[in-house]
Amino acid sequence: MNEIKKMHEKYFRGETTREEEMLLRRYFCDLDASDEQSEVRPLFTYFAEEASVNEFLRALREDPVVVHKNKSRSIRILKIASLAASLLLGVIFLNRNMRNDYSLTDENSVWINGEKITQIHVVRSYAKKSFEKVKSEEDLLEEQLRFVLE
Amino acid sequence: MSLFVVSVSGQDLQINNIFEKYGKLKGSTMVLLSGEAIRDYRLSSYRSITLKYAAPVSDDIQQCLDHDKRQARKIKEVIRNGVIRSGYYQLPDEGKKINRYILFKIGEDQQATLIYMEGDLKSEELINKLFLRE
Repeated sequence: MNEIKKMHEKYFRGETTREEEMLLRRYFCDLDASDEQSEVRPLFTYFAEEASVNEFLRALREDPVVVHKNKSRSIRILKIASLAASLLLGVIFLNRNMRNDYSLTDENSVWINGEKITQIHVVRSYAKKSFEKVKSEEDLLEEQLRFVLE
Repeated sequence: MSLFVVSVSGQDLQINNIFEKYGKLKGSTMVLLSGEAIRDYRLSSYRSITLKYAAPVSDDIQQCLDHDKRQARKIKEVIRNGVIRSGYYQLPDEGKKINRYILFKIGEDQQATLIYMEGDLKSEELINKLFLRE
């Protein structure tokens, strides 16, 4: 008991160490109200309460950070997803435009006087006709081509 | 990104403009074939256009052929009065290990036929097909 009395006197002189102050706080927190030293008790319990309040406030401050982290992660995922969706839409749009512009990626088809026919047997028959048209009937060309290949 | 971009065969060639410009016009017949439909012929792409050989079409065709034949590996042409009457051009494969050809001829009916084809088809096989007497 005297030890404690000496310690809180030392406390008021500002000579206590951190460990001694913690010891005092613990002591006064458990101290019976009828004790003669109880008049200084609020001083130490206040610090103890303050510590718990601070701890509570700190936890409160940290919680929104966690929420914020989760929220920012969701936003990031949403951003990536929307970027990917835009990219995909862009590619589809580009692809469609290329098809419209050039028609060279069209499905198998034959265009006759601006009209498109996609029936494969008709397309094949026109392909065959076109190939027949470039077939050479000139001996000169045949002779020279064979010469090149030899 | 590149994996999404559609690659169109023969896009590097000037004759592509002929297909684009005249393919869907009245008086033209344009054939577009690719994939399974021509796999039996050892081709992956076949395009042809037949149209009346008159200005300005004739000038366009001659210019495009003049340009594209500069990159050809093999050229055989019949030229009369400075005009390409018929031509066979084998193009470099550009590392894709496919054979690419341009064929052209002006018929006696003054109809011009221009063909672009690519695939496994060897030049010898193509020559045989071109000169096969039936």
